[in-house]
Amino acid sequence: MVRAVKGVMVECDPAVKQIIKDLDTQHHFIIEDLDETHLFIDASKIEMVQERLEEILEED
Amino acid sequence: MKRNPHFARQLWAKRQRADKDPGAAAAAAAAAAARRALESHTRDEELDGAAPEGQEALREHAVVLPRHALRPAMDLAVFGDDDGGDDPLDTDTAWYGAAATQPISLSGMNADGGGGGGGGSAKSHEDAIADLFPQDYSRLELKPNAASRPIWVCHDGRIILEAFSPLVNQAQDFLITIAEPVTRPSRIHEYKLTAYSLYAAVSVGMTTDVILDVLERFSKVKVPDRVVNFIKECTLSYGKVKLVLNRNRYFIESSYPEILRILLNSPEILAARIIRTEEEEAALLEQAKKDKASADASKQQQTQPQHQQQQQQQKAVKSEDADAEFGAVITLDREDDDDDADAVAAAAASRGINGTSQVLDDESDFTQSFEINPQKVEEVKRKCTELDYPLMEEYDFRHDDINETLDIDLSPKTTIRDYQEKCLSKMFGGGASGGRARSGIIVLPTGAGKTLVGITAACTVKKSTLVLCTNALSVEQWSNEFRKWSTLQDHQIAKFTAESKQQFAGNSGVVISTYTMISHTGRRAYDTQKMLEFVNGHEWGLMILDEVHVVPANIFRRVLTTVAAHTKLGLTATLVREDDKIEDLNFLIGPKLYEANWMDLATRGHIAKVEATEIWCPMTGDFYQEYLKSNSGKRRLLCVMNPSKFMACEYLIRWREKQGDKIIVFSDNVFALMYYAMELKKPFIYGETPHEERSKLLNMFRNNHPQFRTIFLSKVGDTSLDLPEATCLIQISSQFGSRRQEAQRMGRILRAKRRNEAGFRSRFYTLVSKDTDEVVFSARRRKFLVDQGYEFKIVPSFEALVPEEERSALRFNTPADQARMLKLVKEQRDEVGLEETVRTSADDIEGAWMNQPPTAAKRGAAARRAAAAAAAVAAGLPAPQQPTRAAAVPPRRTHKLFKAWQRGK
Amino acid sequence: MQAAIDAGLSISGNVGKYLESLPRATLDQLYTQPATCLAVLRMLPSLAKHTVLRLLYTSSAVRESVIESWAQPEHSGIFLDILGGLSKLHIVSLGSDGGKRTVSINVVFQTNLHNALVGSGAHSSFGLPSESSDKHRPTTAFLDRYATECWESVLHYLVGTPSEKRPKSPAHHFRESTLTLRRRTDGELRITSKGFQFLLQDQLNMQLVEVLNFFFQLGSLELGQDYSIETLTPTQKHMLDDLKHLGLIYQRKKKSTRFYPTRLATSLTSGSSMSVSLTSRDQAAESEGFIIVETNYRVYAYTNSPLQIAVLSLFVSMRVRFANMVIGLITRDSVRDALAKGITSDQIIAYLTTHAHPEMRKSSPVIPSTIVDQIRLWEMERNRLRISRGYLYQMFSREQDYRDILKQATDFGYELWHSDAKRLIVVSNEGHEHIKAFVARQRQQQQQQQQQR
Repeated sequence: MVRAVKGVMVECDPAVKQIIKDLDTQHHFIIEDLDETHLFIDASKIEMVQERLEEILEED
Repeated sequence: MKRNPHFARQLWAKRQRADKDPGAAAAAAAAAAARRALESHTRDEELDGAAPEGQEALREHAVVLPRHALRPAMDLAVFGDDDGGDDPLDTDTAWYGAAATQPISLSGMNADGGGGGGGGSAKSHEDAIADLFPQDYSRLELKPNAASRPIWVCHDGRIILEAFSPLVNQAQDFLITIAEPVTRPSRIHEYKLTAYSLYAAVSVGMTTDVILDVLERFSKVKVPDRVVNFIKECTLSYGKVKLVLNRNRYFIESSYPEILRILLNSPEILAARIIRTEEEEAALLEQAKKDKASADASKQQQTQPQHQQQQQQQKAVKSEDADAEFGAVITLDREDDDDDADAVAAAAASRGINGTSQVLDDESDFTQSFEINPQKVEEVKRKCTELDYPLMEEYDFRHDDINETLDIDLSPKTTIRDYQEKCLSKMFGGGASGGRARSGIIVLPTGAGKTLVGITAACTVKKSTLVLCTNALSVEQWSNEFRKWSTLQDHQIAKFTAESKQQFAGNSGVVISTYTMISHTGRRAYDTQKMLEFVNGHEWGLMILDEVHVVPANIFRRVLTTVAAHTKLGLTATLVREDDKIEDLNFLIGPKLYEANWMDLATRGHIAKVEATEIWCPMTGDFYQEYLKSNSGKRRLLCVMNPSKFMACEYLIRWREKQGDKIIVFSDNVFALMYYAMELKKPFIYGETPHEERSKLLNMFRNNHPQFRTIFLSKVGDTSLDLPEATCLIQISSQFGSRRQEAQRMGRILRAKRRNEAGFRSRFYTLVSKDTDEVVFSARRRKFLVDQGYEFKIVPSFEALVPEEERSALRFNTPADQARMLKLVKEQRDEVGLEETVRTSADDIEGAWMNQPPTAAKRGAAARRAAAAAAAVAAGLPAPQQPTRAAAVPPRRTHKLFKAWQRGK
Repeated sequence: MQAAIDAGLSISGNVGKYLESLPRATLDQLYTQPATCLAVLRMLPSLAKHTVLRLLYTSSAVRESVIESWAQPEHSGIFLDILGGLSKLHIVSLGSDGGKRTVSINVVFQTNLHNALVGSGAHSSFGLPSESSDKHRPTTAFLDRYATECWESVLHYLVGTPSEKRPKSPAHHFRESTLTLRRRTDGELRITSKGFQFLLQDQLNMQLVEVLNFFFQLGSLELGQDYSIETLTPTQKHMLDDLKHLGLIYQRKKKSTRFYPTRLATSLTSGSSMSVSLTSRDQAAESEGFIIVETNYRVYAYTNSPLQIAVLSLFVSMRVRFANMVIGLITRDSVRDALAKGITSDQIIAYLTTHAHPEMRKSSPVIPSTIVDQIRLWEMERNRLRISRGYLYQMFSREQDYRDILKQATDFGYELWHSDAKRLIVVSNEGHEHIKAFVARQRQQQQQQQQQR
C-alpha cells in the first residue's frame, strides 16, 4: 500500500537547491524533488553534496 | 624673489671653472651608496654578533636600508590596489601584508633579540605566541607614561592613533600633515608614512627636526631607527631641487651644483634636457619681450610640441657627444663666458634689478639650472624622485610681474570653514615659504565645499586661472559658484565647452572647461582650435583640476604637457583608484596636501550623516538556474532584474517617499534603469539624455515637483551632480568592485540640505542579489567608506526588509509575474547586461575612459540597444529580437512623464 | 571520575547547581566527609548559612512558621526560597506534621558538619599534616608563581598555543571529555566549543566537581602547610598527579610523600573567586576590559597577556604586536576557522563584549552592530542546508492510506514534510519504526475485516 525509501531530506533556499540540482545532473543522487525548498536525496551522497556545495559557494 | 635661471647660469659657469673635478659627481654618488651599504652591513653584523643580553639587547635593531628598497612596499600600502585580496572584508590584506615583502624579517628579529629579560615561563609564552604575528614590535621599548601619549609607530611607517586620547587634536593635525590617513573610524585611527606624504610635509614648511621631535613626543614607544632614517632621507633631500616654470619654459633649479650633476648623470634626465644656442636664447628672449609688449601676447603660439621634440632629440644627441668628450663634466648651457656680461645685463634688465648685484635673491644662494623639455616633465620628476631628489614646485606668485594680476577677491559675504582654511594653509603655507603656492591635491568629501576651496585659491594667487571639469554640467556649476563666492565679473569668466567658446576680456581671467575639450587630439572646429591655442599659449597662475580621480592618466599627461600652469590644484572626494594610476597623480600634479576626516565633518554637521544598508535579495529557483548557466553579461542582467530586487526597490521608494525623502536610484545598467523607471513611472537620466532635458529633469527634482520625488540615474550621475535635495540613494546595479564609484555615489546624498535637522540621516541602500558575484563586489566596494568610518548594516533577506502586509502590493510578487520577468531577461542579448559606456557629448569624461575606440563604439551601441529594448518593453511592445532592429528604434528623447508635465503647463 | 568531568563541564552554573542535580544517595555519601560539609556550608549564601547553623543543633523537625519568625514579618517569605534551595541540596527535608509544614535537617550532614566544626570524627578528612619538617620547604610566593604558571600552561594548551611546556597528564582528560578536538591531519589538539565555554567562565567553575570530596578537602587545607599522602586513597593519589599539572598541588618530586596545596586549591571552596586571591599577571590588566573592536573590523587589544592573545587569535587574524597592545583583523576566514572548531558566533560576541575596553562601553551596543551582524552572517552561511535523515513514503495505493499515515505521523510529531498534491510524506528515522508497526496493525485489521466479510 505504500513504499518507503530511506534517505535524507534537505531543506535549503531556492538558490542552493538549484546548485544541488546542477550537481545531480552528474552524480544522480536526488530521489525526489519535493518542492522549492526541499529535496529528498540518497543518504550516502550527503557528505559529497555538502562538500561540493561549500566549494561552489566559495567560488563566488 | 623669483630667480632668473639665465642669470643664475652665468654665475654657476664662473664657479664651475674654479671647481673643475670631472669625477666629483660620480664619486659623491658612489660614496653615498657605499656609506649606505656599509651602514646596513655593520648593522647586520651587530645583529648577528652582539650578545643580546639585558635591556640594550631588547631595543629594536633596525637595519638601515637604501630607501628604494623600502619605498615600494611603503607606497604600495597606500596607493596600491589591494582589491586583489581573497577576502573582501580582510580590510587591509595588502597593507598589513606589506611587512612580509619588506627586507626586514620581523620574526628573524625576534629570534635574534630574544635572549634577555623576562622570567622563564614568560619567555616561553612570548615565543609561543610570537608566531601568531607577522609583525612583532613587542620589544620596542615603552616610554614612561606611555598611557598618556597618543600614538604607536611601527617599523614600516604605520602610525596608530588613539582617537580618544586628550591629545588627539594636536596629534591629528600633525599626522595629517606628515602621513597618509589609512583608516579613521571612531576610536583608533591608522596613518602611514610614505615618501610622498613626507615630501608634502616638507613642502608645507615642516623641517626634519620638527617631524622627528613631535613624532617622538607623541609616541608611546621609541620611534624605530628605521623610521627615523626614512624620515631623514625623505625630508633632508627634498626641497633642494626645484622645478620652475618661466615664460612657458621649464627649468630644473638648485643651489647645489653637485645635485644637478647627479641628476644629469641619469640618461633620462639628460635626454630631457634642452640646450639652446646663444642665438636661440636671444631669439626667445626677444620673443618674450615682444609678447610682453604685444597686447594679445597670450594668444601667441608657443613652440609647437612636435617641433620641440625634434629639436630636443637633436640636442640630446649633441649633449651625449659632449658627455663623451668631457667625461662626467657637466656641460653648461652656455660655455662662452665672454657673453656673460651681456646676458647678465639682459636678464637684469628683464627683472628690473641691478645687474651688478651678486646677491641673487632672498634665499641667498647661488642657483644653477638647466632647461628641460616640457614633454618630459613628468618623466624627469619621476626620475628625480627615484634619485632621492624629488622636485619641489612652488610658485612665488606675489613676485610674478610677468603675468598680469587678476582682480579677484572673495565676495564680502563669503565665509570659509576651518577645515577649508586648513586646506588652503597647506597649499599656501605659513612658515618659511609663506606667500608661495604649491601644487598638490586636496581631498574633501562631496558636499564639504571643494569648489569654494578652489575659488579661494584663485583669489589668493590672483592670476589667470584655468578650471578643468569632467562635464559641461560641472562647467556650469563652477561658473555659477565663481560668481556666487567671488567678486569676479562676468566678462572675466570664460566657458569653453562644446557649446560655448568664450574668451575673457583683458589679459587675465578665468577659463572653465572640460578635460576632453582641452585634451582632444582629433580634428577640431575652427573656433575650438582658436580657443585651444589661446589656452595653450597662456601662462596660467593656477590650474584647478576638478575630480582628479576620474581622469585617466593619459588625458592628464596631454593636458599638463600642453598647458603651462605655475600651480596645479587637484580636487577630489575620493582618492581611490582601481586602475593603479594613483601614483601618476603625484608626479603630474603634486602630493596630497590635505585629506579631510569624513566622520569628523559629519559629526560637525558639514556633511550629512548616513545610514548605509545592504539588502540581500534572494533569487527564485528559476532565476538562479538561469544564472548558473549564463555568461557574465547575462548574469549581470539577471542580477539586476531579479524580481525580489525589484520588489525591494519598489518598497524602498514607496516607504522613503512617504517619509519625505527625495530619492536617487542608481543603475549602471541602462536596460534595467529604463525598465525600472518606466514600470515605476519615474523619470530617468542616462548617457543619451540630451543636456537640455537633463537640466530640466534635475530642476524639477530640485524644485520638489510632486512627481519627481524619485529620479533614476545611470552612471552619468555618479559625479559632479549637485542635488542637495537628495536624501536617499538606492543602488540597483554598479560597476563591479569599484570603491571609488561607491564613495562618489555616497557623495550624492552628503550635501542633503536637511542634514542639520535633529536626528536626520541620509539613507544609502545597496540592493544585492544573493549568492551572486554582486555580494563579493559589494563587500569590496564598501572598503573605502568603511575606512572612513561608515558602518554598513546588512539585511540578509527580502523578508527582513519588507513587512508581510506590504508584499502583496508590490509588482512581481507572483510566480506568474516573475516568470514573465525571467522570459523578458532571457530574450535579451548578453551585451544588454553590460554597464553603460556610451560616450555622450564632447565634454563628458566618461567617454574618455574607453581606450580602444572600436570596443567603445560596440559597447555604446549595446547600451543603446539595451535602452531601446527596455523602452519598447515598458511601452508594451514586443522586445526587439534583432540587434539591428533594436538599434533602429530610437531611444525616447523625452520621458513621457516629462511630456505630460510640459503639456500640463 | 571521567563522568564527573563531563558532567561538570556540561553545567554552566556553579557547583551548587551541580550538586542539586546529584541523586540523594550520592549526596549523602558526600556528606559523610566533614570537610565536604564544611565546604558546602561555606559556599551557601549567608542567610542560608545562618539557617543551617541554627538547625544544626535541632534534633527533630521544626515548624516552618518558627523559621519564618526569625525574620521581620515582612521578610519572612525569604526563607521559603532558602529552604527550597537547601532541600534541593538535601541538607534539609521538608515534611508535614498535622497539616503544618515542617523542616528537618539531614542527619548525615548534621553529624559531619558538627564533626568538622568541633574537630571530632575522621581526622583525615582535613588532610594529615606531615610530621617531619621539609628541608626544601617552598615559600607561599613560590607556590603562587608555580600555580600561575601551571594554570596558564593548561589554558595555553587548551587554546592550542604551541608551547614546549605542555601539561602531559590532563591532556587525556580534556581530550576525552571533548574539551578539545583532535585534528586528524596534523595530530595537533585544537580547542572546541566546550573548551571555549570553559575559557569564558571564571576559572573556579570548571574543575570543582572532578572528584568532589577530594576537592572539598583540598579547599580546607592550609596554604604553606605540607600534607602527607599517607591518608589518601589510591584514587586520590592518582588524582594528585593530575592536580599537580593543573597547579593545584605542588610536589617537589614525583615520589615525594608530602604535598603542598597551592592557593588554587585552598581557595577552591573558600567562596571567593580565585582571581581575587591569586592575581596572575594576565588578569590584573584585563579586569577593566581591554578590547577595542572598530567598524573597520580591526581589533585592538590592550594586553600583553599571551593567554588573552592566544584566545583572541582563535577568531582574530593577528597582525601586529606591541609591548602593550596587539592588532588583529576579524576576517571571514578567521571567523570561519573558529566556527569550524565548534566555537559559536555567540561565544565570540560574548567574549568581545565581556572584555570590551572602557572606551567601547561608552556606546551602545558595546560591539558595533555591523561587526556582530557580520559574524552571525558568517555563521549562518555555513548552515545553508538543514538535513534530516528519514524515510520518504510514496506510491500510496489509496488516498485513505495516505491520510491515515499522515495523521499518525503528524500526531506523533514524526512528520517532516508532506504534500497532499504529490501524496508524499517524509518521516523521521525514529518515526519510521512506529509507522511501520502502525501499517502492520492496519494491514492486520484490514485482513481481519476482509476475513469477517
